Amino acid sequence: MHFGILTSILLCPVIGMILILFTPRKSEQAIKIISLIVSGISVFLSFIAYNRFDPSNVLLQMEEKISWLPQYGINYWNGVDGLNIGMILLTSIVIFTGVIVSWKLNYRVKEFFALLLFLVTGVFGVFMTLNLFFFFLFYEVAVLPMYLLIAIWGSTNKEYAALKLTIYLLLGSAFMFAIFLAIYSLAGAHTFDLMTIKDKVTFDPAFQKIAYIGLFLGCGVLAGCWPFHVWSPDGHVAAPTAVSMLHAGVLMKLGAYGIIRVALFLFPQAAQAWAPFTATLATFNILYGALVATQQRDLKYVIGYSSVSHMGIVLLGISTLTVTGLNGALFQMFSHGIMTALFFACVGHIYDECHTRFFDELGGLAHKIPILSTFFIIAGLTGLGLPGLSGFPSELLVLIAAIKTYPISGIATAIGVVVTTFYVVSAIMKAFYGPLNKNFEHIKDIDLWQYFGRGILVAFLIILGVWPKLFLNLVNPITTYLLLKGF
Amino acid sequence: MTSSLFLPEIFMMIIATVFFLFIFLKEETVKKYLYPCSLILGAITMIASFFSLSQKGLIFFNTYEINAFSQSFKLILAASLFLIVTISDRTPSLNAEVKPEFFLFLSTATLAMMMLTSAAELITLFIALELASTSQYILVPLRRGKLLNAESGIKYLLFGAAASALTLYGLSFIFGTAQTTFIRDIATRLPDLLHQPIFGVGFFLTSVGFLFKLAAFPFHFWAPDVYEGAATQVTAFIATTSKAAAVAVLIKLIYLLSPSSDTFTSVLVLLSLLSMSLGNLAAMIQKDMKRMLAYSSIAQAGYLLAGLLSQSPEGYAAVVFYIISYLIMNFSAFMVLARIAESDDNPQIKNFTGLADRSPLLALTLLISLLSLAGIPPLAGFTGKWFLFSAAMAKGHWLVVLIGVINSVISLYYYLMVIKEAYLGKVEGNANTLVVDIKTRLISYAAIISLVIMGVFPTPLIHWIEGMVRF
Repeated sequence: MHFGILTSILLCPVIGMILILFTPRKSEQAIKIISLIVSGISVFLSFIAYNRFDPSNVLLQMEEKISWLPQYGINYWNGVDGLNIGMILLTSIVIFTGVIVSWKLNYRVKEFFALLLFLVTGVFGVFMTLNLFFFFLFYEVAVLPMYLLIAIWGSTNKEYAALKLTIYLLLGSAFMFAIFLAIYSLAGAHTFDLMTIKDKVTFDPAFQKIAYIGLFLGCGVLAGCWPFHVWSPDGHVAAPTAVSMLHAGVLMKLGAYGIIRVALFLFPQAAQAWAPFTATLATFNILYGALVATQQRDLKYVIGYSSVSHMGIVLLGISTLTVTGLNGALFQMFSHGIMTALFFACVGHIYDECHTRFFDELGGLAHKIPILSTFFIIAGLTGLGLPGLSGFPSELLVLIAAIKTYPISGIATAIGVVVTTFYVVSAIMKAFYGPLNKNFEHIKDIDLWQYFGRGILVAFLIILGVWPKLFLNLVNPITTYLLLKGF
Repeated sequence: MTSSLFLPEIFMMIIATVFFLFIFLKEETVKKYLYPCSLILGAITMIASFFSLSQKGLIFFNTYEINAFSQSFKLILAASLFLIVTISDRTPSLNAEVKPEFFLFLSTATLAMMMLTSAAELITLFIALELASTSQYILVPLRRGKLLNAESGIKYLLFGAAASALTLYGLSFIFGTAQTTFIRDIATRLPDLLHQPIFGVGFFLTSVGFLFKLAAFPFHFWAPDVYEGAATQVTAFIATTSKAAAVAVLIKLIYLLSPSSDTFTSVLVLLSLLSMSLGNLAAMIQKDMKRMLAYSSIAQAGYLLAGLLSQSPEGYAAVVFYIISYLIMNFSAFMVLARIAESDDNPQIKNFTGLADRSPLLALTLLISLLSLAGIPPLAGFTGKWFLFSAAMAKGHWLVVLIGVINSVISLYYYLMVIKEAYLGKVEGNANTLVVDIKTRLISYAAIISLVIMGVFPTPLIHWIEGMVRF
């Protein structure tokens, strides 16, 4: 039980939060610098972990196990494999850039950064823990600060959106809670350790069926699964920039990750049985999200619904239960995380400068703020799957897998991609080209510091776009191994 | 030797006597010395209970059993009395002349509750129950002024007396079948008794008196009115200390005498489900903060019953863990409430508007305690619920767990309404900052820290509890 690198990553935001709580309210700059430093350290540590990670080894690595409450089967057990190392990296990158993007925030700064770091603790925790108790604990920690973050610092109908989001997500997690307890008592192994249960216990098929779909939908609420996605566009629109970035970028991935890590791991047979159903739901996600996005005027709503559509691709990839599909889903989780974070970071700046996000009121921004426009357009092109950017390989992999296993869903996905192209291009055309609105003569482009923050995200999109192997090498061995073994 | 076994109770009696003497003193003297004196005495009792933790023995002709369970609960009771005393310096809704009586009956009630945890014989049990109830009947209408308070006092008295009568009736059945009033003797004869339905009926009727104290459905009618009508400190006492005592007795009775039949379990399942659902649904529409907390406590009683109905050591440990966290979170909510209530009015939810601007610390305390009540990690309320529901699930009561977790989400709605007012509401005009004295600060910090620690690292506490529920 050595004190390893994963716990250090987890402790970064915790320490930052404690330091912030003891910093005087007035020293806002100090609070921001503390947040920047701790999130910077977490990026650094994540890269060390990534470096140490051996992709060819399909077993858990960098494990840390501390007996917590042995009589209740609760152990503090962390570990990484190909499924979560990328997610940890993603989280640290998004929070780091999120802190940079929030640099100009000036309202209740102390609480904002404290809550932001608290939330990130939860996200890191979910991605690295292997115990169901801690999984649930961190899951809720990641969800609940959202209420205050949106309701206090948000915009557009924020209290409604915050409450809707919280109630939806917690209702989803309530089912998770019940199923986790049922797993514990039915497994009879007196443990909440995921890997122990996975290795030792085979559940009764009838229970598997109920538990799988319960977990799929429970986690699916957070992953934006249709028809439980309704909280997500409202929530993303209302949230402040950094929170939207984290939420769409990372939090929705928690749901998808939960489906893979818990539902697929423990109930593989049921997953097979439910696959046509979940694939259908995912297809609805893709088409519905894309179609609704075409009807929006608010840039954030466009991105919000595009997230629903893109998360559908993740869910479809999982539902195919093939190596290609899972690789695509995991790749899409990473790529979409970076892409949406970039999207929201850009829209945040536009809103700060122009005080509107309706793209028919904008127009011609590319002349006035060329750098930011370029960034937004890169994010947009990733979204529609332009080759050379990371959205292309990920969507392609899922598409290939889906066409083989569920041809109808595959075709629908292809249509979804076309619709995505339509709404992304038309939003870009209206907001960034054409005549400049007279009211926006004075607006300024991002400064060097903000350029740096968003530049990191762009770099990832391009690197993974031209060299997808970098990520696929991480996930391919473990997905191949898992599917060969039948989980 | 006997007297040292009785140490916490003796201290409690001394305190009661001191407060009794205060009644005869001049008003200025009372004003000056009563509060510091009560703080010191409360602290001393707590220390005395702490040092008698490891005692064991039987006294008073075997009617009074001292063991780890009773002594631990005495410590819990003494600590919660001390906490109530700390927030009783400003009692706007109590007349200055009844202040000594307020402390007097607080201490007699606590004394009686301590006796409840130790009573090893049915008559002792009933006498202790009556002393506890009667003291509380007097505490409720102490509040000055309004007609409402008299009404709530009478309601409490009538319902309480009826519940006590049922308990007594049930005790007579138990005595009739077992031919003895000693609980341990009854326990040894249990195999024969379980065949007789009349014993089951007697057992259930006996527990009514304690379910009443716990405000579980269908014995909850008094709670909203009494919570609303009584002075805030009295409400806090009824909501915390009294609940802990009721839980102690219920654990003891169910552990030793439970007719672990399906009928009894299904009755508990039903009561648990109805308590939590009814409490949470009714709490959603409340405007008065104390009424809301009353309905929330009915719901919490439902969660506690979910642990009790498992009738397993894990279940009992979970219940004790939960009641300790419940004491802390409920107390801190009431502490904030007592600070908000500047006049003798009941604080409405809208009175919490802008609390975060007026006093960030109190707002944070309220936030943490309400989220803990809702069962949000990483707070004590979550870990407690996890234990409770996992004990219930282990016995296959999945319906209770499912309804329970859905209820937690429902409860979050009304807690968030208060949090929303506190954090998002804007005070009209210039907001006057609340002056938070050092004592309140300390308690707030202690409450927040202990709720978080119990949430993420419950191991030492759960170890201690597991030791004590092994009778």
